[in-house]
Amino acid sequence: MVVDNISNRKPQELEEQILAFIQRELLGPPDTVSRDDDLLSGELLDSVAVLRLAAFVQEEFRFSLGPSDFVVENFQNVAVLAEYVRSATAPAEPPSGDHR
Amino acid sequence: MTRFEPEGTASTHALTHNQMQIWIGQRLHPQSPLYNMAFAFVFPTHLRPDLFSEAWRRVAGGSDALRTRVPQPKDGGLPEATEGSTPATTTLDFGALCDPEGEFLRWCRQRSSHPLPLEGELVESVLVRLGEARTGWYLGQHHLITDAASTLLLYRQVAAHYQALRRDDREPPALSPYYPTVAALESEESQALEHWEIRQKRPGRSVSLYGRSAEPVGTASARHTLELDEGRSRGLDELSRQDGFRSLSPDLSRFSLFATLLLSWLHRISGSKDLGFDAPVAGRPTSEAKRALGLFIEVFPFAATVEGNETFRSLGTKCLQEAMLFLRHARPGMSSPSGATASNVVLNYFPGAFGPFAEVPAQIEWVHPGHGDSVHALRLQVHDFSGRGRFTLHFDVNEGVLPEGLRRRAVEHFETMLDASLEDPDRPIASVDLRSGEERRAMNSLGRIRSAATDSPAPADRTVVEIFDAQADLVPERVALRQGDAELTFAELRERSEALAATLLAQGLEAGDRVAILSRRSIGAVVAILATLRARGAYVPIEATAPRARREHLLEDSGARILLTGEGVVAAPRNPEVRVLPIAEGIESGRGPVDLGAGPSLDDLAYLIYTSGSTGAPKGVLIGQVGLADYLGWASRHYVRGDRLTFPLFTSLAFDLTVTSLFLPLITGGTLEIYEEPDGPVDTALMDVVQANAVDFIKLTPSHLSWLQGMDLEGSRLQRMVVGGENLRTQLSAAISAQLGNRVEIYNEYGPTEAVVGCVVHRYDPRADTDASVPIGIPTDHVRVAILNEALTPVPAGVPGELWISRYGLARGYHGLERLTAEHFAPNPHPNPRNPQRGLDRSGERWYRTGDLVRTVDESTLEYLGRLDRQLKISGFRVEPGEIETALLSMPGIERCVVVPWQQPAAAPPQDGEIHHCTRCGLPSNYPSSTFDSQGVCHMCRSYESTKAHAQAYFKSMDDLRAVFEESARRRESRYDCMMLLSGGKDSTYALCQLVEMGLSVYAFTLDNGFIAEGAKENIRKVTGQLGVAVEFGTTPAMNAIFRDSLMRFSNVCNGCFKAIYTLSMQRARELEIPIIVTGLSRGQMFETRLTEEVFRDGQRSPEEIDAAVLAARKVYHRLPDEVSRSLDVRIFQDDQIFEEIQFIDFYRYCDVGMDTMYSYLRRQVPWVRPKDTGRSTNCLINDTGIYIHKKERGFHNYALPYSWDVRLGHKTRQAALGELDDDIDESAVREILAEVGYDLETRTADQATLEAFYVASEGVSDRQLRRHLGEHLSPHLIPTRLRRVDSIPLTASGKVDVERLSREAHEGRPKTPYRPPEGPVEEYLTQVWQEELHSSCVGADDHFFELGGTSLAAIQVMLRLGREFDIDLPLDGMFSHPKLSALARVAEEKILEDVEGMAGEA
Repeated sequence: MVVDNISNRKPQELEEQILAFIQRELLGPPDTVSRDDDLLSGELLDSVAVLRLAAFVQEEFRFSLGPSDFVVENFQNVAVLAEYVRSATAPAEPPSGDHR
Repeated sequence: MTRFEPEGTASTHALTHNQMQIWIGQRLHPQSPLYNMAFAFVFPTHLRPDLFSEAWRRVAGGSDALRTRVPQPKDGGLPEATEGSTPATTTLDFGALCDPEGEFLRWCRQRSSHPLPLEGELVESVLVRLGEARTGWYLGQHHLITDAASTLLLYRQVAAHYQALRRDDREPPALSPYYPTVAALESEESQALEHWEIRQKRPGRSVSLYGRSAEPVGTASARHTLELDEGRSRGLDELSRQDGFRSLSPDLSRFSLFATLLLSWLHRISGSKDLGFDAPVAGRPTSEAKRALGLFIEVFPFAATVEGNETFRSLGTKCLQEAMLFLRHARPGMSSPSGATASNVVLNYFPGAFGPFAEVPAQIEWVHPGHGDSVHALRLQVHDFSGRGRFTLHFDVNEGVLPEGLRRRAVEHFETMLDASLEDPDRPIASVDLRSGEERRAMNSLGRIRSAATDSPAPADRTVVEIFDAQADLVPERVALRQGDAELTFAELRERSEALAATLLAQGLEAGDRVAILSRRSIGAVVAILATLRARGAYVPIEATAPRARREHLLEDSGARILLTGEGVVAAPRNPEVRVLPIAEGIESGRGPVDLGAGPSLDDLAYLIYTSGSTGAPKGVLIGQVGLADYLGWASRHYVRGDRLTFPLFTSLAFDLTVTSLFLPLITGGTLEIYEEPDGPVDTALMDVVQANAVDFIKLTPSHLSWLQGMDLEGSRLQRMVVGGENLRTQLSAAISAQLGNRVEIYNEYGPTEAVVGCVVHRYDPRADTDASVPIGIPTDHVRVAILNEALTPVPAGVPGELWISRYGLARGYHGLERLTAEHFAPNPHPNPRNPQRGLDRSGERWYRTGDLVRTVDESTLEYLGRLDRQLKISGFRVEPGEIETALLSMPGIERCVVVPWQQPAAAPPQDGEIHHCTRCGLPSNYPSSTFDSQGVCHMCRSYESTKAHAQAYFKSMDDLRAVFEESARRRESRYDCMMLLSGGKDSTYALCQLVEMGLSVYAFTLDNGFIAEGAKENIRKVTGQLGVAVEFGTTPAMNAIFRDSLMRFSNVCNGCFKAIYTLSMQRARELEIPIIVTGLSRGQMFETRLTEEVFRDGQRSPEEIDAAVLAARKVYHRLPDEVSRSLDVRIFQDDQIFEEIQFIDFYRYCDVGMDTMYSYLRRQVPWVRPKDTGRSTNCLINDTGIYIHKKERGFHNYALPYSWDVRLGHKTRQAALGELDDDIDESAVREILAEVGYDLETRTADQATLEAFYVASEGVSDRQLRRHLGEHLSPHLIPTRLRRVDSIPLTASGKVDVERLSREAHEGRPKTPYRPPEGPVEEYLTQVWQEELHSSCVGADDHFFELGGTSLAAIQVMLRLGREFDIDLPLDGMFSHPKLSALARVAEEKILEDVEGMAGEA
């Protein structure tokens, strides 16, 4: 059985997935988005769109965002967001057991 | 690539979802400018009109939105948007005026208040020269084509074009996308749907501000602007960056922050916890949409619950979460139509600023048109359009909701809330004192202690004993007490009380000791009370009729060492140390010269009275001499005013309500008439008081008062009436006042026992007191009140809060219950630092928290709103359900139980399941007690099969009718052969025609009940004209009252109307000496009302017997005390003579025709035209109203039965009957008629709450056993009316008992007594009365009064009415020995027979 550990994916993969979603669902031509574009300035996405993005990452990558996670630091741009997703889905540190 | 349709293309498109809502809103208020969005800009420069106009033309021409017109749609069609020509900018010059800018702004405000007609241009652009270097621009748009984002876009686009033109740029900036294609299509996301559905159904969608009605009136709205200065704005900005407010973007954070402030403020000025508002969402998801002009916003609900200890920050966190969900689910097209489930509050947070216009800074005013959507009581608009970094808040308040003073105060309250949040966001919202200085002064002046210096009464300085003694010195020979023939003068009373006091002292009584008094109301009891006080003891009154266990408990708990007993009372207390002393004996042994010492002082205890306790045991309230004296001092000044009055003693001595009547006469030189408790379970001494009519003053509870309703009190001696103990309904007060000729002073006296009898009072004013309940008024002397919220913060005026009371002589506490005392009695929650120990109470400043919810109306009068806990008032007594539950649990076998209040519902329970119809006659299954066999045939059709033959014998032929007239003519000569009751409908008109064809001279009589259709009146005039028949239109001004009464009693209008017709026609017939009255009653109606199954059961009823029975019923009918007999002259019906003079003939008893025959005859022979506006009826507009009410209140159509008879008799097809029953009744027309008649749908609730107990029992515990057990432990008024056994007690999610489920589950499986219709006039009368008292739609002759939920007070009421009706003497507690209707009827019938025989014997 193969367990898909999301945090093990390459960051680039995550970024691409997120960019694709934004392009497809939240923007219409001729607008485009790249990994460094400011997502929160209001020019590219409005508040509603950002929330839909947040919903997407939770559903797609199977984790939950708490109210304290809805912060600028995590959603500034796609690069930052992908990194956040990776760390948020990393499994907890295994307890230091008998393996020395 | 941006698209736009070039000018000239006349395309149409349907309005979008949000446009439709606005269009509808405008159509509802065609003259109102409520949707005008107008801005006034002032630029400190000269703008060239030519360039500006061209810039405008380019923008307006390039946008379909600004060229939109919405013409009136054709009948029933939907509106569509079309395009018109490009609107142009108008130019004006105000340069010559003396204040151009001021004039310009005034002009703008004026302009914005004119509505923009939908068919015309929906945008206005006016450029106004104000000076050399000053230009104004007025931009007005209809909301149909714009929102804030659109306006900002428009402004920027015009600016950009102006700039481009000025610079002569080649490339004009891009134009606006075509609105219809860009306007988002509706989406159907299910999660979102669910989210909005939940929001829309929440409580708190409509909030009431300052206790006012939440209903906005009209569209006029006033704007109050609050400009936040730099300090506050900066503070808000900083706060929005903190935890609990910070979100993904600055705008979102600010929106959440303002939501928090708005909700905090609403919470405090409404007192509600479940709150919400509507807020718009931009609705421009794509970048194309972001560039389009037009209306995109949609409004969605935002909800939050404010808990008791909520801080600004915790609420902020909630708002952040809600904002997330709000935005996530706000999809285009998902908003609800405005007005359907809208909140009455809106929050509009506008991000964005206009910016400079072609590099010139603008001064911006958002012009308020003076009107707003009538659905909204309040709109809070927040913006910084000018981009100065400071917020501007507009409070647009509907003028009908708050008057101006309150609007200003509301804004001040908001400011206070705002500042509090900035100062400490972690502060509990409930702790902020919102009140302004002025409010504080007003609230605190609600009862201030008055000092001798200002000519106001000083607090009591003598005990009641001393005051009584002074009276005795003054008028020693005056009668103080009277009981029957026995009298006691003041001197005698003094003497005896001194004697008994001496005995008490000799027994070792010391100051503060309790003396229990167990006695019926008597002279001795009064002596005992006075003696106890005199001996410095505290009297503990114990009801002689109380069950043993309770008596023991009170005796023990009070710690009384002496028990004074009245005549006939035998007591054997468990505690051997208690000395039992009969009062008479005590008096005797104390005679002779005595030294009573100094006598009582104000610091002594006066009495210990017990009230219901929530943990099971009753609690004893300790009242001192000072409180008693102070209350009585006030009562004497307020009620007695130096007059010499006679008072009744007829209420329980153990009830502190009685203190007033007991002591006032003794201290004012009046007389106390004593009425002892009669034997039996209910104390009906009030009846004796009324009968004896020997008193000028009375104090009683509203429950008592309701007994007096309907009684003849014309000759009453009463001058002053005080009502206390529970909530007083205005209806009751008005009724009694009227019965007493409106010449009695009626006072509503409020007060918990802990605050000494009464402390807030209001004199009932019939003109001013119009709410459902009479206000409780203002504090009495030496009383101070405070209204606090849960956080013990004073509430602003009008907002509900808990009542706290401080008074001179406040109770010392609960006897032996220190913790409970500490919980309820506290020091001043808000001590005045300048005046710390301004103690009202001699024992230091103490306050009592009442647990009552009140609020102020009119700034100072208090209004009672209900309890904060489970405590109830039943018949004026405090009832803690906990006490009853404890008693129930003490019964072996009972495992769990809960006691809840229960009110018999006034409306019929909703119909479950489908309604089917009899396959033969169409009778619907929702008709009460109907049954259907396996072939779907109803019980009536089946029984008719067997009684048909007999029934046929009752009906006769036209020849028989001719014979009747011939016989009548022979007997008497008269000008008219008969009077025809002509309603104008088909039945009576057809009958009239036939009578005329028979050659009879007929006098037609019509009752114009105020609702006869013009068509019907026309019919009557034309038909009688053609036939040459005299016609009279009778009326009575009491018709509306008769309708109301009929609706109340029968849930229909026809009963009242029929009776009025019969009554008036008989009078007229008598005057005109007409021997016969002919009715158009149909055969179906005859079967319905008199040819019932029982009549034919034994086949013995011949037509003659039936006629006799009908006549007897008619006599009773005309003598029933109802509105008709009250409002019309019914004296002629009191004896039988008129029934011998005038004969009633039902035409259709003799004539058998179907509906079709009638219609075709009428069509051919006479100018009769079926009216179009009468609904089901053929003559009357109010008929439908009766049907509507009957269906609503009784659950079935009132014509169901007669129509089924029409079918059974072959006069109508089943199809036709079903069609007629399936009415589409115009509800709005019904409401109009109901309003005209004065029938209020909402106030049909039972006035008396009773108790219902649900219990889980392990083994068989019978009702009877339970009741006996309860009877041993509880006072009678505490015993639940209904005891229901259940399998379990379900709980709600929050852990409270789920009462609704309990009720539902308990009702199923309860065997109902099979219905038996009443026989005979007494059973018929009783059925009617029971139905009224029990608020039930269907009472059978075998029903059990108490099982149907009857209270003991209602039982008394029934006995009173029964006795009055048949003029017999019945024991008032007769219902208790004969709770079954038929049994009770037998008792009454026997009595009637007895009386009749007795009279015969006397002859």
